[in-house]
Amino acid sequence: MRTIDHFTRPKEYLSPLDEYFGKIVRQWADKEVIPYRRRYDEDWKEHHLIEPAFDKLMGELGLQRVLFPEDLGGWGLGHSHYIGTASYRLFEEVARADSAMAVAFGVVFWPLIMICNEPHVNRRLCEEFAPMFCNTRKAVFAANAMTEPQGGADIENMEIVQGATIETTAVLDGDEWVINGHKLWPTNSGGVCNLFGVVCTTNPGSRDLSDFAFIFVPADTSGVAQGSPYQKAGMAADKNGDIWFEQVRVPKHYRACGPGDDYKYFKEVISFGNLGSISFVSGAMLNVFEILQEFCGNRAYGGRPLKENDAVAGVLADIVKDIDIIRVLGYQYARMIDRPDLYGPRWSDEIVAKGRAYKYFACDRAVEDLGKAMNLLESSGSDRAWDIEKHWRDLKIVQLWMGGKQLCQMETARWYFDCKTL
Amino acid sequence: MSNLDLIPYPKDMVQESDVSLARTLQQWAEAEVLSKRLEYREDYEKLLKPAMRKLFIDVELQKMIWPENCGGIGLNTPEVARTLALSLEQIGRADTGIGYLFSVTFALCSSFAMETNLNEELCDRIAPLFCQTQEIALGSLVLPAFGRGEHSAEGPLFRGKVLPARARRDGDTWVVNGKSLRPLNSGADAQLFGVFCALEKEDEPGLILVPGDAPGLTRGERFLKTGLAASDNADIDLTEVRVPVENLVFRGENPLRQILSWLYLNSGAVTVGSLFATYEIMRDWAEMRVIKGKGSLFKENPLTASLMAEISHEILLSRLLLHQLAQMLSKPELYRQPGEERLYIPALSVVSHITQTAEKAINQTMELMGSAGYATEWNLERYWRDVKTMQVHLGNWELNKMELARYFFQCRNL
Repeated sequence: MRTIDHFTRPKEYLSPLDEYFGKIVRQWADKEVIPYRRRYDEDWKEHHLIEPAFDKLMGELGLQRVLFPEDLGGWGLGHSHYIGTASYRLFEEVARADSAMAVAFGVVFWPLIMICNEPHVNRRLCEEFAPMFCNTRKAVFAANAMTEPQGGADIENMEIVQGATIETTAVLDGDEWVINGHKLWPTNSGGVCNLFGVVCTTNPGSRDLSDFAFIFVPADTSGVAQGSPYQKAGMAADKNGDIWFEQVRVPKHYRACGPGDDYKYFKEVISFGNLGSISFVSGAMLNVFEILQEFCGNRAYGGRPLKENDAVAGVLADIVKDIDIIRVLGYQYARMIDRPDLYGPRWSDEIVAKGRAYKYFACDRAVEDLGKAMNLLESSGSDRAWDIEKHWRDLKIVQLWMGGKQLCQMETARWYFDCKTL
Repeated sequence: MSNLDLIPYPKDMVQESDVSLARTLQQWAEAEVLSKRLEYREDYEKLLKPAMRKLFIDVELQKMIWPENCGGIGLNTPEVARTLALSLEQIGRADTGIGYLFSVTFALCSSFAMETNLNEELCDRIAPLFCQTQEIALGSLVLPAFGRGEHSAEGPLFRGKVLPARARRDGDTWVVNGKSLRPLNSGADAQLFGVFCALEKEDEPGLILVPGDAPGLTRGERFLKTGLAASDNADIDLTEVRVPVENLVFRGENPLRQILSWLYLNSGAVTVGSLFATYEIMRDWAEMRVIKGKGSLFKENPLTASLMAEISHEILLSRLLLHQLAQMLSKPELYRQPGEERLYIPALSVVSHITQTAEKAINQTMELMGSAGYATEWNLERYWRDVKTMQVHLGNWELNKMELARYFFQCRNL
């Protein structure tokens, strides 16, 4: 019988950690998450069930440390040439069990990319923040605070708005930044965050890229307030909420890369966001394959297994075809992230645009395929007991986040067609 | 402008009384559901049940189909199709799940309470469940299901699926047995089940009415599902359940098609109502959202406007199709009886098209709204979950398509 490991991956690209990551995370998923995930929706606010699984993955298995340099207790992924492919495997395996856990786990690295990745390692901040993540067996969460009330994720439309719409301000006062503003929706907010990376402007309304600032703010800093988590259609393991920064003071050196470079390397954050999103899609869809295999193999129509009906088999073929393509595409993008010497910098407009294109391709295919999969199962398709509906709800959210499909379309068209005003 | 006027429908096909009822239901929707849903979300006890009480008992919707001499309102002629289309749009706009419960209940009762196939004895006996009560009364259906296991020995097949229950004749009663039956809705609280059974020593299956309080009927644990929160569903077991012989409402395929035709009309109308709600949510969003910096209103952007146009285009066409189907069901002298393939096939086509179109349109609306699309605060995601849940309950589209192929191409072995 075929398994999820029969789906294609470009073997030439796989990281040295691939087998190890795959093994430990799959064991964790099968033991700690899959048996309990049907009760996660009711646990969205408290995380009584969800938190122990996070502790196991991130704290006890130590996977929240992987980005930091080895001498600081990390695994050195930030300076490796396989950060993309290794991360992809990690996130894919987590998302097979629960894509909300995958995003919560993945976003721990999102702000840390700004200081842990070559060639822009900020050694001082790595030394300062590594103990928070490396010297504990509990899960520690980081978050990227960028979305704001008025324009939402439009702030990510960087080529056009160039930081001009950012309303969260950072003012230098002696050796400290004073931050004021209101952010919405970051993954790992809603009360769980330990360390924020905050997108600010040092000069409101300015299009001068040196005024774009990315500043770290520990969540327990005076003046930081996190609201309760929002209730959503899915993704219970990912908490999102409001964050208010009111006269928040942090040291001057908490700015990640400095004027100009904050903007430049923040685009690398966007590339990783797209890579993560594709890996969440392929991981969840691998589990959809497992579910379809069980349902369509064991339920009968006309006295034969459902999968032996030619019309049903046609739909099953469409779905596995897409899973295979999405996975190959995802690993290809991971390779492009791994090898800037071949494909250009991770923060380049080209890599950002191609990431957007692949992400929305993967999400569109997955959402359509999940709709078909639910339909194949008839009323069981909407039944919590079969988990398909969970992936359907969760992957729809992956499709919508980070500015949604339209922003992906604009960035893609802008790069390929050299559009100036989109 | 009211959705009754903004989105066109063939007005010459409806009567003033239909429009009047729709306006009443529009007011019910605003007062009992839409104005309260931000506070109560999908809370069954605080929102859905009180709203259903108002609708089913105060507005007397659960009396609609029953003959007047049974205490009903007597809307049991084919012309009721046009009333249903206009009314269920408004109910679906408020809550897809409530609309779905009414849809199934009406479809079940249509099998013996419609003027064209009136069974007075059954009406006399069953109508009080709906007409002489101050409690919400719901009907539900148990239809053929997929078999379990490769070499299924669970019972006779009907159109490729397993008949879920067996019934044997014992004097003046039918004795019904079936394990782990999955009703379309309300397994936990329905007052009346229509169970499609294999009839012992007979060639054709039949629909048997089983009251919810029949000895031997047990209800399983309520189960969690994606949407339709108004439907409190659970599997049921029937163990030596005895009902009068008269509870066998019909034998054969045509009467089942008749029930399904009414269910498809009703579900289509509920879905169109959900699309109205989608449109209203999108309109509110597009009025206040700014993109690409200050001064760029969301709805004025050509890309987003193009998508919004596609969504409204789908709503417009879905409504026209729905009302055309209602017209066909209302005029059996022109379009045949709803149990005949000639009318059943268009009903299946129309509901499939409307629900699939709605899935696409709501998906697109969510895309336009980004994170607000999946936040419960904006309510859109609820219609998305509800419509999809209702759609999958209408059956596997790949297998339903075989019905169309059989009809249009006279396939014999599908």
